[in-house]
Amino acid sequence: MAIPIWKDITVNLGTSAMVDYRIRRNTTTGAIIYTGRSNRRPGATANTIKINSVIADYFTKGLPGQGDTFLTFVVEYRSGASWVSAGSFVVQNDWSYDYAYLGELSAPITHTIDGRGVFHRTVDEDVQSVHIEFQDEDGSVEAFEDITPDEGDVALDLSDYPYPIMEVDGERFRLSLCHRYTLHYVNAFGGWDQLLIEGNTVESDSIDRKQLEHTYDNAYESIRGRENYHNGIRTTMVMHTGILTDEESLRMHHLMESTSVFVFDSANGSLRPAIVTNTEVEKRINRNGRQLVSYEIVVELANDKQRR
Amino acid sequence: MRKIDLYINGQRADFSDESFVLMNYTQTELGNPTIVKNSFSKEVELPGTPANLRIFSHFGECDRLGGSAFSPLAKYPFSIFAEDGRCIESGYIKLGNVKKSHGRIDSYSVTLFGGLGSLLYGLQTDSQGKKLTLADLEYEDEDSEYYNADYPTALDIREAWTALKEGWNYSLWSIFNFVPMYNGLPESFDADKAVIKAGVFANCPGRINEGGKWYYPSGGMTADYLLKFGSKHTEWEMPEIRNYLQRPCVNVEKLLTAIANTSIALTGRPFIVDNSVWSIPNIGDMWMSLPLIPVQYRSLQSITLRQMLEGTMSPADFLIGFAKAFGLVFRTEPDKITLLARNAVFSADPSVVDISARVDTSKSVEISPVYADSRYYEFALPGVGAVAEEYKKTYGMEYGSVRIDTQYPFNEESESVLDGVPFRTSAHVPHVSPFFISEHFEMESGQYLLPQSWAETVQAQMYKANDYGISGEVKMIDLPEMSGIVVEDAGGFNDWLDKFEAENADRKGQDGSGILMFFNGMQDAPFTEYDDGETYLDFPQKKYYFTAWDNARVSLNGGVDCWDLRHLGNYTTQLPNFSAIKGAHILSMADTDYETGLFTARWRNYILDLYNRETMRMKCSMDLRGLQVGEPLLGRFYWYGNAIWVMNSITNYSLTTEDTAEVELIKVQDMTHYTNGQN
Repeated sequence: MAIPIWKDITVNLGTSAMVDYRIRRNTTTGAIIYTGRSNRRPGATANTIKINSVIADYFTKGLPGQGDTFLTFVVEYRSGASWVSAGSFVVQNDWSYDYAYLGELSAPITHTIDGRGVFHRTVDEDVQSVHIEFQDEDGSVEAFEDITPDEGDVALDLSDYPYPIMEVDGERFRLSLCHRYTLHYVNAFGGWDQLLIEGNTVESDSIDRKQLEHTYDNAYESIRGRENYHNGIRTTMVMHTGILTDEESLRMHHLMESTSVFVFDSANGSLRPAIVTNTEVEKRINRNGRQLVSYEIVVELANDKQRR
Repeated sequence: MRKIDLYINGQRADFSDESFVLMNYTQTELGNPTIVKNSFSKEVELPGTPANLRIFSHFGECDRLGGSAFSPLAKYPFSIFAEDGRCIESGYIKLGNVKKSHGRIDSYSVTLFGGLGSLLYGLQTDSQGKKLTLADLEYEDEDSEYYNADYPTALDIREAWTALKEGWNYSLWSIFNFVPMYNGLPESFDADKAVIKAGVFANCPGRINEGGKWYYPSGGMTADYLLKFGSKHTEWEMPEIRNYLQRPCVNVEKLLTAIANTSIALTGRPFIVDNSVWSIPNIGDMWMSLPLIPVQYRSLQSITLRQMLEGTMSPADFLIGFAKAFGLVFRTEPDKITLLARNAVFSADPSVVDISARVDTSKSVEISPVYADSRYYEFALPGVGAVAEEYKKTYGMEYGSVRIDTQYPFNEESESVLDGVPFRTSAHVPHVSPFFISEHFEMESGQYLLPQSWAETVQAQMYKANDYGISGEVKMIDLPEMSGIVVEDAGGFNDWLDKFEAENADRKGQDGSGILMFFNGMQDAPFTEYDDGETYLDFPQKKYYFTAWDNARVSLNGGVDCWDLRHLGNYTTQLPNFSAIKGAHILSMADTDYETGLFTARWRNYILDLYNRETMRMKCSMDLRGLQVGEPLLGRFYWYGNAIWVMNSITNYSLTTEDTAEVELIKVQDMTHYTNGQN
């Protein structure tokens, strides 16, 4: 099983007081990404290093359905004139800090998704096929697909399947055509998920105006003395989820703490990179049974616009 | 948000919205107009993104071992490109510090050094931090022959001066040569001794009878022997030309060419000398004196260029000094740096730009007078030599200097504005010496005569004879007198060729390097024609004898070098004439009655305009959109409020936002002071 990146990966380099080491990508002949010289800690018998801070930045983020979830790193250390392997490590882009984690890569917050967009899921790299069934309300299977994951990533365009229910390897989803926006994000386990925004969304632009004043001849009414010569525009979307259950609420952190988020707009099919700017997420539990739980998500589109 | 791309060492760097890249450009330091300014940026914070961590090879991780990866001690180039692919700025980066938090690298603080700084840095030190000298340049003659700095060359002064005389442009001696100067008594040298060959001089016989006993040279009647004079003599009194005792010099035009040739190899940036610099009057005949050849190389048959140029100034020091002395400007562009005259900067495009619509009047516009830092500015180069020292003692100013009154009324201080310029000034004078005699070594009979009218006791080092030959008992014996030698004036005679001084009043040698001079052709020793039609050379020292290092001579004098009068057939009656004056120009800051000095020729009009009481400084915010922002903007004229201005500086011009920049403008009294003020 892959090692989650949040967990310290300690590598034993032998017992020498000082040893040179290097970290490679993938194999013993892969690219060297780091060289170091480690001094043994006083009082310790083994010379050990932790490799997390170096290898963490090698997980790339791509479009939904793309990117690295699992990477392999090889650590070698110098012994005499030659390099000795200290181990090969398969690491997962998992930041969940979940000691009980059992290897799941998918943790959708709700099970209602937009039936007009693309469904993304990440599975273990050993999984050969993902079975997806489309059903009517009465449970009858109207269509199915067996999809071969591409390095763990599954993508399926749902607009070809006008059915209300979808089952993915037994996990049931409702396909909705009623809401406009979906957020696609990398969850804490390193896999792709999506959240249909079932509440309202308010989109606004903040404008950074550049102005200057210059001399002018006021004999003419239409001559401009003050000029707004440039506007920088940043779009913010304040989104609201639907009413969430306790279980769903406890999965909100996967989205709110994600560093890779995209906004899908079913009105025009656009997929735009975004940044969640909330600075806290409550794990809300409806203990007293009275208060309904929903979340406000503030998202800034990552690409600013301008007008001149 | 303006989009730019920053590349460090060929790799694209990430930078955040907050890491504004702010550029500053300055033309003139108003308090001291001679200071050479560089464009630079403030520190830029580059976030610890994966791309940036790769650029810096994780520098900041405690156990990092760099190897061939990023080193903070190496110079890495940076380039900034605009969206249209144009390179806006380039230079070198310097890593400041690395910030970490929560165990990971947060950011790298980097300073971007723009163009001129990186050029001058590359001309100052090599990649190992060792200071460069003029030997590290590539010198090329007109035939495109390069001179290898480590290849031995025979230092043949006759050949060097022939090259000067004939105007050879295709030899090493068109680039380097030797300038006759008063260099003082030589070091590590017995200047009161000479070696002669017995019998060659009529009054230096093969044996001398002293007290009834015969004394001989140590090697026998026809051997060489040592003379000791009552005082020490210089090469001009002796008269002997030694290659290692003459002062090397370098042609300024060739030196500038060599800097331009070598700039890419040393700095990675092309450096171009504009035609306006080549048009400086008589620059082709301008030379600069260098340090004397180090003592340890005297015994070498051949010497390398690197040895000859040991101890010289760095190319950077020369460039900056030359720019300051001649009022030149460095113009930095992303792809090259150009040295040009101030005239050329402002006459390249003398059209005036109306900036009324660009000045943002919603922000404060600040007007102030232009003040000098002090009441008096001295354009002075340090003097060397007895006359320059005496001048300074008498007048309190350096020889050849100019003190100008800036009209600044709030103090009476005097400031030297050419500090750090590696040039010197020296008086160009004839020395007077009783040993510049009217009698020459060679008599009409063809025999040589050692002039005893030097009015001193000359003794010979002779060995006593015994029954078995010449013994080891040595004695200093007066030479026999010769009749018929008369001296009319033993008080002193003028040297026939004026020279620069590099010796103090006690004839101790000083540092005579860095003196700028013009070559004015070869000069023959003057002659007088007698009435009977015969022609004589009757001025002092008609012949200068060429000599080189000789181990036998040095051994004869107990291991110490001394003068040598044995090689009398190898001589010249011409010397090259180097002086401070050529035509109407003099290479001092001050004018003379007939010649224009450097201050008047290169600085006066600009200074008059800058420190005029009507001149004012205006600081404002300006919209620079649509203009290619950089140093070329500083060489234009601008119209605002019915006055003409030049842009002196642009501050905090952001490469990443659309904000206006802070601009400083200086009011111009007369545009021709800028476009045509130098000659």
